[in-house]
Amino acid sequence: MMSTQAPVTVQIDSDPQKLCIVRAAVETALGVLGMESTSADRVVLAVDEAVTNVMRHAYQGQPGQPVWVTVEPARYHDQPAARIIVEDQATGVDLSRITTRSLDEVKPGGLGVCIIRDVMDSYEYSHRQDGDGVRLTMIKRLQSPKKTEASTNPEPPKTPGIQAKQAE
Amino acid sequence: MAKSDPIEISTSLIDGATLFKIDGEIDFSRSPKLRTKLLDTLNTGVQRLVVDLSGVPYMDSSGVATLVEALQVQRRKGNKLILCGLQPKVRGIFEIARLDMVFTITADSETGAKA
Repeated sequence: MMSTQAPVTVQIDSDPQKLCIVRAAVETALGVLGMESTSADRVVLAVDEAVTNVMRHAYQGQPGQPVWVTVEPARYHDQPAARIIVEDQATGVDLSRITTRSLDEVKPGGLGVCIIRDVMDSYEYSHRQDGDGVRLTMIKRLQSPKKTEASTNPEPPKTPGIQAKQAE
Repeated sequence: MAKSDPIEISTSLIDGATLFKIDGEIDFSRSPKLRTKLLDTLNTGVQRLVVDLSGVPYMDSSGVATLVEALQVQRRKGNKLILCGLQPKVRGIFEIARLDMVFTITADSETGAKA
């Protein structure tokens, strides 16, 4: 059953050539959890953006540094969900500087966190408790909520640190 | 299987426009090559550039950023950049980034050349 499935973790080094490995692994893991394909495609994109941000910003392009991506079953608003955790060992990352930008302005760059915010039901950046580095915890329901539900039960805005408290 | 092949890029002429065809997934490892090739092409003074994405099954934000930069270059010069042949995953990121209404997007290259 879904709730008894063990987490799946893939470790890569901070080489952009390895991004395709993460995408394939996450896509497969989400499929095993039963996420619908359209949602899974978007989640794969968001995870790709998260790992790219680790390579570009946290490790500042330095190769050979570890990145871990874990996919595991979860619950969100009492619905089955997938939790995806991206971790690194980068030092000196100021979490307050990880921000989104307005999509009203047409300019290249800065879209990564916007995509994570748009795709995920919740996301939260935190420092790892068991060592250096940052942990990004993202949750996405396996089935997208129906629009009629959303219109009668509007959900709170997606804000880091707030949404995550609502996840189980 | 994950695709590790590099992207392939070719240019040709179609109905007075320059067709810039990309084949392969575009992520952070491949977008620098795309950016170099695209800007090199624009520097030749192309008035109407049609970027054919029908061979691109996946694109991340670094690829989108490259195309936004190219669009801005073309607009500054009074030239055009048209996208065509977007596959569902690629169209998805343009929708998320709200850029599907910013770019001129056509179904295929023939339509794009006339857009």
